[in-house]
Amino acid sequence: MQTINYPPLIEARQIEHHFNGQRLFEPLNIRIESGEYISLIGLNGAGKSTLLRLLLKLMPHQCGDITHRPALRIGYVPQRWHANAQLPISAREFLMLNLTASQSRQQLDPLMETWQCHTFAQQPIHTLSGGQWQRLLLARALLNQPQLLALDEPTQGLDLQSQHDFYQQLQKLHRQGVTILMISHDLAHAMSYSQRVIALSEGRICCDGAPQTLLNHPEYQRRFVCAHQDAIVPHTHCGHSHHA
Amino acid sequence: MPEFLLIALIGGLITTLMTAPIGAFMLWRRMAYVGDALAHTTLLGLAIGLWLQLPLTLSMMMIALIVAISISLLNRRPHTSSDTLLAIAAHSSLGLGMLAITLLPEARVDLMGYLFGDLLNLTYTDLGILAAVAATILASLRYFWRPLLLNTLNAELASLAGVNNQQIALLLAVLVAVVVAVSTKLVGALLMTALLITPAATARIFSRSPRSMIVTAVIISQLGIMGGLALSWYFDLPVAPSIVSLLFVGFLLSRVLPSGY
Repeated sequence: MQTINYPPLIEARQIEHHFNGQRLFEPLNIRIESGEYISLIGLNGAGKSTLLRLLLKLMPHQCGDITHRPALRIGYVPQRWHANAQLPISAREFLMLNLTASQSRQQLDPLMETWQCHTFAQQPIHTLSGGQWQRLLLARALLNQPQLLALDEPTQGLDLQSQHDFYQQLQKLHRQGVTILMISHDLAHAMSYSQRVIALSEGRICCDGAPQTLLNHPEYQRRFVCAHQDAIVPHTHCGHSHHA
Repeated sequence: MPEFLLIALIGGLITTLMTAPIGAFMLWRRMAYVGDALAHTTLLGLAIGLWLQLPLTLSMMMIALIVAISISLLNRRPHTSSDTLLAIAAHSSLGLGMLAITLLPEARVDLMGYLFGDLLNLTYTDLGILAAVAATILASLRYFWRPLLLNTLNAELASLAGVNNQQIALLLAVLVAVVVAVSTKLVGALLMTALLITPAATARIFSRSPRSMIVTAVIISQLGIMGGLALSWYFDLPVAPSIVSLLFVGFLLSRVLPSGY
């Protein structure tokens, strides 16, 4: 029997990025396959957001090659930004503005109800709470029924209950066949929900695999688990050379 | 009503059709200083127009456009700060313009008119230019409304929605430059920003959507023009400062009114 090999949603080969004359990454290779749930983790300044933007072609890559599957539909939830209060635009109008010519206004109402945006539809976007804002951005990202949903620290600033609700919603989308690629600071979430974790450190991918394989990976332990413990309890010794 | 006053009124009302929406976009994009800086550059345009014997509105527009487009292009490079570039362009143009005017002894320039406006000396030709430019600006805003607003809200989301952010930033720079160049004759280089920004800032209090904010800003600007001309006529006051002062009073009043938005 002949098997059909679908191309990956995104394939990046030997991509590099330079900032202020310094190389941010070593040449990276990444394949995002359809149906995956991927968490991209790394310490502050590791270049996670830059890598995500490069993969989505939101910024030009300087070296290497990034290929998207033809006609790939991407939904993107950026980091929260402070909407300018001088621009009075309601949540509903914000969504309508993002409709393309081929999309009708009729699809807005069910989408807003599914993501519970109808309760604040007429509210100006600069007055939305963190949870409302994330629901709005998620609804916006789902307008074009994306095959790939990319999220940049979507639970930043949310309380624990809202984070839990948000992850449940992502799980539901994943079960419906949406590929998830998410930057996360939340290691517990990355380990419990993701199928694959990509850890970025010092300009390279130090670990890439299923969460259970990563837990025993010495480099993951050294760079993330110990670093995390050290941040909470200074002078904790994890037995790696840095503290020796 | 004397003919010159009628021409001034019509010219002022036409001008507000472009200054109010462009001013709203400047407010939304936090670029209030751009109008001020571009207005300063028009003195160099004035000097070059006198030197080369070109129509002054055209030469002022050309210089404002060159500066606006150059800054928009330079902004794409890393390590450049738009406010630094604008400050340098504005004050260098002002200095060079003054030097050039001083070196043209036969040229008689009404500097007070340039700095504080000359609304009462509008001609029918000026009215024609203002009407043509206003129609072009309004048509451009209508055609590019969605990409302009998406880019103003968030450039990354705009990019994913298929908007060419660099082209939109360039388009807005061109629109601002053209509006500033043709409107400087009315209120002067020093008061230009007030006509752009104050009505939009006042309108914000009463508006629930971008469109309603622009319509409200046009109405406020037109009340300012009519009130300023009336003050000038009945109390023998300079026109442009009267308009700007009235707009300021309107802004102050809007701050004490309750706002639900």
